[in-house]
Amino acid sequence: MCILNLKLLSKTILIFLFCLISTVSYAKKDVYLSLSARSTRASIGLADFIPVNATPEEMTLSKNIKNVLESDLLLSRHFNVALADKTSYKFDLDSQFAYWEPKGVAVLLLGSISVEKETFINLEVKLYDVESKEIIWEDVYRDKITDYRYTAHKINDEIVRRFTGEEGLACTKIVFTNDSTKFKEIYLVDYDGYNLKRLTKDNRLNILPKWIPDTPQIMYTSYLYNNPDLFVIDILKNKRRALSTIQGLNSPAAFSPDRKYIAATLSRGVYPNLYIMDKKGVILRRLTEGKHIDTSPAYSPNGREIAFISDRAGYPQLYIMDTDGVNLRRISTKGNCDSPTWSPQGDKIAFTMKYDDNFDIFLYNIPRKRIIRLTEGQGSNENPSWSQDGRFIVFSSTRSGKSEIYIMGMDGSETRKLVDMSGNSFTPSWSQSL
Amino acid sequence: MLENKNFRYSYYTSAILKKIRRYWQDSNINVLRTVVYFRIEKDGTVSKLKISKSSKNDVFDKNALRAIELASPFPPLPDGYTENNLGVYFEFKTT
Repeated sequence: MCILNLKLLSKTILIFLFCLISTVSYAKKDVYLSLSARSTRASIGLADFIPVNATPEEMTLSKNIKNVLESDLLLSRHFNVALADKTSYKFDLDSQFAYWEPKGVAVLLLGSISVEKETFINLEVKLYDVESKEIIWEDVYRDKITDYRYTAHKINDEIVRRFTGEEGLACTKIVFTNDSTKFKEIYLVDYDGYNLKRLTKDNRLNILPKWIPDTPQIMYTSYLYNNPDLFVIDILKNKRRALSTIQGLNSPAAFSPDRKYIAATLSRGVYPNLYIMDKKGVILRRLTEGKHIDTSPAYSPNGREIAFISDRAGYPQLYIMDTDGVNLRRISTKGNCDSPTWSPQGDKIAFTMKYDDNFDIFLYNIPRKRIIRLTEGQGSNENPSWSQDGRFIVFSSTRSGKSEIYIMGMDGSETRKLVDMSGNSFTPSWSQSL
Repeated sequence: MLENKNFRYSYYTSAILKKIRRYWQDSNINVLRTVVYFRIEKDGTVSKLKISKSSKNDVFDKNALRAIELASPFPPLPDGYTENNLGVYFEFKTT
């Protein structure tokens, strides 16, 4: 009989907070971390996939897919991964369990791989609960050999779903701008830094790329016609089109979660204010008025509110208002704020604030009404964008001496550089699963 | 406590425990105990959520229900498990 309970002692709360502070070195003042930051990771055993025909190609693919999957599972931060001490292909189940059980893994992934017509991989995988030796999940993947990273990513995301009920991140991509051509062009890369691809080749300014919710499309601002216009690229169809060529567009625009509306800053006249347009760029209504600058709108995930930056207080601060223009609240009280973005769960807003010399990433926790700092003392850190599970943030940082793209946990922990490339990189935006 | 005594997947019970812990927030200083009941469907969604044994403290009971609501959906039930759903009695208590 299995009894599930949660004991709550005032002592355990204190111990728990202490643990958080001692394990997260970046966020000294940061006590309000996610509970997920402390939960123990499940241990997964990753056996070598058996090459069915034992060809050198199958053996190489077996190893390569296992390596990508191991990396995915570790990057997910849901798992500890145990590997076999040396490559071995065990066919019978009893000897597999006899080998893996003493390693203390909770679940075990077994698989076999074969190559078909020198073009396709067939990978059969089974995930076992080690204690009961029962099957948790099994499936067969058939992909082109050249897409083997994607095969591993799909397996990772299914394992994550089997453990958390949430979507994994391995099939997501990040879009950003880079100036290595002396212009600014848009680039696309997998969430783990592989498959870097240049999307625009205009020798112009292409800036502020942003994923359009629930689509494989990226909206960005292009100076192709010497005026800042909104363009859309579909990365699956590899096509682009002009969305609108409205005069006076001068900051990143934002799609509503249902993609019916676009919030944007327009300077029709003297002062740039916020407007709501339909998806063809036709203005529906003006959202803010006044002799000040309102910019960087970001929709809440339920589409009912907009976070934005306004200098109505004399300097740029973070505000929230309802999408019908009422219920305006000021959130920040100091610094110079920029680029707010709502967490997919709707409970937090990440934004940039110039507090002393540099820009840093901050989080506003909406239910707790608190602002916490995520980066500190490592160059300028700007333009946060959330992972779809709300557990990670991608951003640009000058910590290495030039602007590059990094990913950190949403508590500011375990930062990694996304990709090494020449030039400066800016304004990342993280896709949903593609 | 699981309704189905034949449910043998310990990875699954620890996964739901972990997920509920993430959303459980209560700092009541009294000694309280509440048991909620819910069913996890094949795809991990929650149904039939209710208080099975009340703590007689409204806030504590509501927080318990809220933790389950926030934690759902849970992971899909294991393929090897042949029933359509899994009933769970989940105990929240302070000592």
